[in-house]
Amino acid sequence: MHSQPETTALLGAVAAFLREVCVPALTGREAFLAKVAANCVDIAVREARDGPAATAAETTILQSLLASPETSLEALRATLCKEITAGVRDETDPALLEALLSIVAARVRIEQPGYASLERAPRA
Amino acid sequence: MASDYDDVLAGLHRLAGRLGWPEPRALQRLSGGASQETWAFVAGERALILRRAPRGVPVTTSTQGIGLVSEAAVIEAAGAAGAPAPAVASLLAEQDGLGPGYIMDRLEGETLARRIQRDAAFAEARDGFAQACGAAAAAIHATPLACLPTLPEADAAAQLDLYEAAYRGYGAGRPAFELGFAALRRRVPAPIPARLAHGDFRLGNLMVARHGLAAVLDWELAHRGDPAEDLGWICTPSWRFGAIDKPVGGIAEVGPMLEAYWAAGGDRRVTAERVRFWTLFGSLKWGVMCLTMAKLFESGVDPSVERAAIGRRASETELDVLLMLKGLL
Repeated sequence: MHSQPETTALLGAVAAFLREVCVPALTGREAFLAKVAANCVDIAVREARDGPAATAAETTILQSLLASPETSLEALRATLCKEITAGVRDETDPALLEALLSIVAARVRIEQPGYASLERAPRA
Repeated sequence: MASDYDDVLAGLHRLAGRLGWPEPRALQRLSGGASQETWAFVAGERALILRRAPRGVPVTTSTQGIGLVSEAAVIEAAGAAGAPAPAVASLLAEQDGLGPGYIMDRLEGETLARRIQRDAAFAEARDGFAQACGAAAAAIHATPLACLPTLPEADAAAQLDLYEAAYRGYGAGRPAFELGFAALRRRVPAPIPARLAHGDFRLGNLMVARHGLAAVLDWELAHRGDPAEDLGWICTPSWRFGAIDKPVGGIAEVGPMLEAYWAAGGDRRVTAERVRFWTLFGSLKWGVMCLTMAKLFESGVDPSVERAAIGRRASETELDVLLMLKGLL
């Protein structure tokens, strides 16, 4: 049984309040910070909505790249970091670049969906 | 805030009395960062800027800035060498009660990246932007080292060490960062003679007027280093402010900037490839700076919403590093 309204709806109301009430009522630096605050709430909304799927996808991608049955994302990342620092894998490996681009682009779509470089990244 | 304002105004009155300047008026705060405050005021007919430590208290925790007194000395030396830099009107004295800092001329122009990139008023400035950046960088880099205060020195290898150590200190096991550092290690250019580097040569710190580049601002990260660093930093994707197709500040191409740099006496060993190294380094460096912001926020040192938001920008730099390594950016 979920409480109502949903968490993302609560956050959406906060973002709207910041943008529609606070920003017009403030000036200069305070108005700028209110916009920044609204953007932070937007990130939290996208994190709640898309974060779990992005984490699951990252786990699957790293399992496949490393040919590992490991289920801890932390452990998978640590293994890949070690292989890169040891020189086992480098930027000439297309599979590595493709995997990391896919993982990182998903993070940027949550954290900064308007970031221009996303146009050059593989589609979600 | 109000008492801050009154303190600054009282301090400026003491300074004006000491220097025989007309009474300061029209004081307004322009910005307040973690490392410095900027105020605008007028004395007689002269529009001026005050740069001082936050609330007049010298910053002791800063790991990078050279301090406002050295900053003023660097601006004067670079200006004397022909770099477009604001004129320093006076250093603050202890009896002014404003803390360390200096007064400089307030120049007319725009620093907001989006306006410089888009407004019709800056069309002419955009046409000559690559050449202006190349010539300005060459002038900065021609500043005689003997005229400078003591500054940190760091070439490519030293800066890689510095930022990689910071990254490791945060315990952040991020594969894209690892790949970026490893790739940069394989590309470190052979050292060339160190020059004065501005250290933050990018859109946002360039004052642009209708006819072109009016001044290079914010010299607090000045150091001795590889002259290609400044030219790579202005091309770093995060500083293209959305216009990723144009490497130089989202406005122009690298080729004309380098031609102008060489024509103005810049080191010919500053090649497009060397600039590319520093652009890739720039993304990784900005990424580490974003991680630093995240740590400052999480530790409670700076719990502001602004700090929190910048912390979440580390992923943009990972994306840019990967796209550059794949030849897509």
